[in-house]
Amino acid sequence: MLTPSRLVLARTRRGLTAAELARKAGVAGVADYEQGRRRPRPATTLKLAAALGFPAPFLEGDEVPHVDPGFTGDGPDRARATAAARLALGFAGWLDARFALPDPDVPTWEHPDPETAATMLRARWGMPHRPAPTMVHLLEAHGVRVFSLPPDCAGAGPFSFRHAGTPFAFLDPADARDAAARELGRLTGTSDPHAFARAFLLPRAALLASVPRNPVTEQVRAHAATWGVTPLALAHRLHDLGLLAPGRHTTVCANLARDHHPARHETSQLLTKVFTALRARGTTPHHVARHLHLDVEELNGLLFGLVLTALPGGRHLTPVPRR
Amino acid sequence: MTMSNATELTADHHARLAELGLRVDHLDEAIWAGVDARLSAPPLGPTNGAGLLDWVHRVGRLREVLVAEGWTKVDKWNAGLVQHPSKPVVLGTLQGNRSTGNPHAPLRSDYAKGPAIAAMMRGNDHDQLSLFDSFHAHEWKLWFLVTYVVQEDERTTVLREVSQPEPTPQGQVVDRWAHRITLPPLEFGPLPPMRTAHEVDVPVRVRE
Repeated sequence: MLTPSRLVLARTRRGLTAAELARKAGVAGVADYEQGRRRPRPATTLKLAAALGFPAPFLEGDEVPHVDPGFTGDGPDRARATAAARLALGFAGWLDARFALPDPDVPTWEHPDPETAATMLRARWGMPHRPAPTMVHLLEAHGVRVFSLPPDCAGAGPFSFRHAGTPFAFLDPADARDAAARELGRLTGTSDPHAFARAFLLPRAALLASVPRNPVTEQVRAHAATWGVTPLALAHRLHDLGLLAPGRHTTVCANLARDHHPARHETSQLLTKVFTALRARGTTPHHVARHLHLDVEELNGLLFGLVLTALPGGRHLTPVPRR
Repeated sequence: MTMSNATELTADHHARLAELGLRVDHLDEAIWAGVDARLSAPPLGPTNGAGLLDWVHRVGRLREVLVAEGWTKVDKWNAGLVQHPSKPVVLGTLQGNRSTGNPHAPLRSDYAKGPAIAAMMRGNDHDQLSLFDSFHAHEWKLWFLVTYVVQEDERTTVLREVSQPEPTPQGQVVDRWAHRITLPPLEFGPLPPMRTAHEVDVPVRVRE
C-alpha cells in the first residue's frame, strides 16, 4: 500500500510538480494520492515508481523522518537536496546497524561568538594550535556523517543538520575543506558559520605566534600552504587580525589575484572503510541500494567523489571535480 | 649629525622625521613594498632583477603614500622624487651599503649619481643649524630614504635611514652626509618550514 508522504518525498527528490509527475507517469489524481484521499491501484503505483526512478517498494515503506537543514547559500534545489538528505537517513541507519562508527562529539553551545566557538571546539578535540587535518576525516572522527551533495542538486550548496542526536553534513567533495568547516560551525550553533570556519581553519593565537607582522606575499603563500587554506583566505584573516596593514593587504591581494588555487578535494575515510569491508563480504552497492529500496544511482549520488571504491559495472568513483 | 645606533624607534626618531613631514609608517610601507616585489622576482630573471623590482616598488609605494598626503611627485630626469607641499623637502630613494643605519660607520651609496640628483643636491648645505635655514623658493633640500637589504639564510633584514647628502658631483658615489637619521633595521621573518597536518584515523568496526 502506497505511503503518501513517500510519494511526495520521491517526487520532490526528482524536482517534479504533481502535475509534471502525472503527465510523466500517465496517471491522474497524483495530488489525491499524496494527500491520502485516494489509494492507487498496484498498477498505478508501479507507473508512479517507474516515472520517479524509484523501486515500487520504496513508495510503500514506512514514513521517512523529516529534517530541517541549514544551508550555506540561497541557491535553488533546496527541496531536492533536503529530500536527498532524508533518503540518506535510511542509508545512515543501515550503516549504524552494521558498523560501529564514531560517536557524535559536536556540542552545541549557547550564544558563543564564532571565534570563541572555534577555539572551544579545537580545545575539546585536542588540536588547539595545529593546522587542521583533512576536514572530512576530522568530522567523521567526531561522529558527523558526511555525504556528498548529489550532483543533481548541487545548486543548493552545502548543508547540515542533526537527526536523533547525530550530526549530518552534505558537501561537494571537490571543494570540501571550507564547506566542512562552515557546516561544523553551523552544527555548533554559532551565529556566523563563515566566521567560525575562518577561526577554525586559521586559529588566532597560532597565527599571532607564527606569522610575522605584515608578511610579504611569498610569506603569505608559504603560511597558507601550511594551514591548508588559499593564500587569499589567509591574507583576509591576517588583515582581520591586524597582522596585515590595509595598504599591504591590498598589495598582497592584488598579487594573489593572478594565482590559481584549485580547491582541495577530500574523500571519506569512513565510507571508504565501510565499502572496503562490505566488498570483502561480497556486499556490493547494488545490494545496499536494493535493501534500502533505492536505485543504485541514488546511492551513488550520496557517495559521489567521496569514496574510492568499485562501482557496479566496473566503474570507479574517483575524486574528479564536478565543476 | 648622527644619531645613536638604535635598536628600536625612539621619540627622537619620530620627531626628526616629523620635521621633514615624514612618519616611520611611510618608510615602512615603501620598504615592505620593495621586499614584497623583490621576492617575486623570477628565478631565471636577470641577476639584478630582484633589486630592480625592489627599487621600482619602493619608489612607487613611497610616492603613493606621500602623494596621498599632499606631496607632489617629481619626475624630471626620471629621478623618482617626491616633494613636500610646503616644507623645502624633496625625498628620493637610495641604495646604501652595510653601514646603512649605523651612525658610526661610513655610509656610501651603492651607485654613482647622475645629473638630476647631482643638481638637486646643490641646495643641500651642511653648515645650516636647522634643516631649513637656507630655504628659499628655488632651493630644496634633497633627502634620501637609504636602504640596504641583507639576506641571511631565509631571513631578510633591511637596514635603513633617512639622510641628507652633501653636494656630490655627478658621476660620484655619495659618501658625505650633512644629516643622518639612522633607524633600527626592519626585519622580515623567514618563510615557514612546510608542516604536514597530523591526519586523524576514523575507527570503523564491523558489528558481529
